[in-house]
Amino acid sequence: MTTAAADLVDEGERAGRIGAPRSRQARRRRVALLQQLVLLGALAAVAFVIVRNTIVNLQARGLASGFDFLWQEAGFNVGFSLIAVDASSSYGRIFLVGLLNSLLVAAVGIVAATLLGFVIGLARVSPNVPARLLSKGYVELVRNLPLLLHLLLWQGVILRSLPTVREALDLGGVAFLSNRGLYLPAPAAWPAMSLLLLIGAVVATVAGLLLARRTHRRQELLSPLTAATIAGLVLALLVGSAAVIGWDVPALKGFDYRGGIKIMPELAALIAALTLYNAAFIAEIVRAGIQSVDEGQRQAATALGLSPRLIMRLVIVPQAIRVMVPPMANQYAHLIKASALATVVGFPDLVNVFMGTSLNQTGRAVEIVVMTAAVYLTLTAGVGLVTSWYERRVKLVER
Amino acid sequence: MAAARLHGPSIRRRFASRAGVLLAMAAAHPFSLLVTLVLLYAAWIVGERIVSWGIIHATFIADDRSGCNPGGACWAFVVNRLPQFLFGFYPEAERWRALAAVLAPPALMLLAVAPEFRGRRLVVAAGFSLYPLLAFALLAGGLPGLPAVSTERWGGLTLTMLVGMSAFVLSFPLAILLALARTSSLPALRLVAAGFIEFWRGLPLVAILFMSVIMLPLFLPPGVEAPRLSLALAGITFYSAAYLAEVVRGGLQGIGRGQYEAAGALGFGFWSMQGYVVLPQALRSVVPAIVNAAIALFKDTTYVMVVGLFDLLNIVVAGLSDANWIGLAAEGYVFVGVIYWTICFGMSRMSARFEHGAQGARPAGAAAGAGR
Repeated sequence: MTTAAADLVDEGERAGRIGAPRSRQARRRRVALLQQLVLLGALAAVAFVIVRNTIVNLQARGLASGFDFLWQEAGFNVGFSLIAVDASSSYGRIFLVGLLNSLLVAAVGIVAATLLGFVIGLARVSPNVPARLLSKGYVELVRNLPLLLHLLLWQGVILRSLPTVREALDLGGVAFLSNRGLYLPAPAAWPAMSLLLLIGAVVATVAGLLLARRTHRRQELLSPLTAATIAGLVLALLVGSAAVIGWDVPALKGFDYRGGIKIMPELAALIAALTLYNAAFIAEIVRAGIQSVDEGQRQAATALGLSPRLIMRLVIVPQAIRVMVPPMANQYAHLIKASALATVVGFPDLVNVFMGTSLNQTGRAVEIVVMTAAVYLTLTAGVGLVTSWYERRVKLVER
Repeated sequence: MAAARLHGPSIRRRFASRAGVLLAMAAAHPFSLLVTLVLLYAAWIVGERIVSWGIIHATFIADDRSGCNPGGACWAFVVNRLPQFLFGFYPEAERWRALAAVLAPPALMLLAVAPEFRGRRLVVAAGFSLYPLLAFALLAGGLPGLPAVSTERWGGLTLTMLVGMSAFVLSFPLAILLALARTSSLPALRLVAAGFIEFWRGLPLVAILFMSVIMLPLFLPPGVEAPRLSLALAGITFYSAAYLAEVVRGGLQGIGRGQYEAAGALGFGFWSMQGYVVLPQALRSVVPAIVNAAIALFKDTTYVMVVGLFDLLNIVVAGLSDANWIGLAAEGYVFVGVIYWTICFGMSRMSARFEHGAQGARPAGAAAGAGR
């Protein structure tokens, strides 16, 4: 009681002194500024010590520094590449090869995991009891095992189930499958005619899609005849283009097939593991998204006479997507990062060829680590940006 | 209504009507019926093969590969190498120390869900927070009665437990500080914390591990050497702290302004406000997400393989190339899988129980660490 009274008196006194609250605010601001300066000073001191230690250590080990190594000849070849590369390529080109390989794995993995995850996620909420049980079993089995175990398992399974090079599976005389990889014919020469036909095919596809969209706006369907004509045209253009291109067909020479494109079994194992593992997580995201849609929506759609499939497609999924986007983006970022596990099975991704082989050969630890980190940070930040853009687009516009 | 349900049709009648409903459904949805039959058949085939391979035709005791029944699993491989899979290359006479380090975490976890008794919370909290220190001291030795064992000889499940538990326990206080900093009113603090978190969250763990063993020795003062295990552990701890910080931040965001204002009105300073009012509520609301992060971290400990540490998975993989037990990859992987699955599934059940218990409370914040 007395303290409360004292407080009251105190409060009265404070109110009497004009400007006191303002000075207190200013003091608080000064303290905050000081705290932040101390923090930044401490960080700068730590950074200084680290940089000094690094310089001393690098000198003690006799390691050079600088980015000039990017133009030097690497002297090693890469087992799989989307662009031309050989032992005389520079480290800069090796970096590019690794980056493209990582992006390839991530892109294929994201598409495949999303498709499979949607199927499993829909099965998780399906009225069919065995489908529900099996999908639940799949999810619980897969996501409680380490990704690395999945990867090693798939590598073992794929390598063991494929025949040796001598007994390679002949796929129509142009493609071959063995435990060293899948050999596909590669386009070796691009005559102008083939490019022209290819461009024609693209134009026809775009025109067909635009036409379909216009008719869809009028709530009609494209007439079967028109659709068939456009599809036939595109197909004919593609076949024509493929016939004109000079193909480099793989052929057995010595102990391995030469020519064409070789898709390593490691790539297949990596994509299989990434897809199956992430599909389990995406399935859970899809299930949570669908279950987040209010039951009244389904009832209302049923009352309007929509079929179950149309209810799913037109009512439930579009609303569920909004809930699903943020966790899905997290999952995609995880998949992109997890593609670095390629190192373990020996697929030449960015971490493997650049942070592994190139670093061992050049000893430019700081430069290579900074470049690799920058790539992954850019990729994950990119996923975040695209997600926030998409979130804004699908956001419910409320009054 | 209630009476009608009470005196409902007899069990036989009810069964008949249930069967009738099923038949009607089957007739109305022939495609669904087909899917059901195909799925059941596939499940039967797979299940039958697994049981026949793994149990009926399996060999449990043998001296080498040739002693195993070729028609079934050769578990003798796992049985013979079990000590190595559990304790790595730890000296045989000292294995009780490794065993203690392996058994302590599950024991603490059981204690955490055990019925209440006096001082239980204190024991569990102290056990978890002291685990990294005690386990390291016990395994490293160097005291009278405990001969020193170099970290290169640690391995198997012991190493997995040690890395997983230590990274989690060490990253927890760091995560709380980061989350508080990221929600702080001081812009510099916010910026530093956000930068730190996004940096470690944006990198693959494989790259982080490479970085830790390559870069950290460069950062240390010249002449200071750190074992590979400590370097890798430092990397995993920062990685885990970044993910956990986001989970904790989710919890902090769920605390209403009124809580801060009330605590401030009662005269609480910053740290006592956080310690007594804000954090207890924030952490409790994200317990499931924290457990999910722990599961993800436990699975991620397998990545230490890339820097040449022999955790459970890597030591089994190394054992696969033993000439006496060649070609037994399936058995080895199944063994590793069963251990990981049991631990991870157990933890996820625990998390579900917490979630159930906290019903009515605010739904757990976005499970930022769940997607791994």
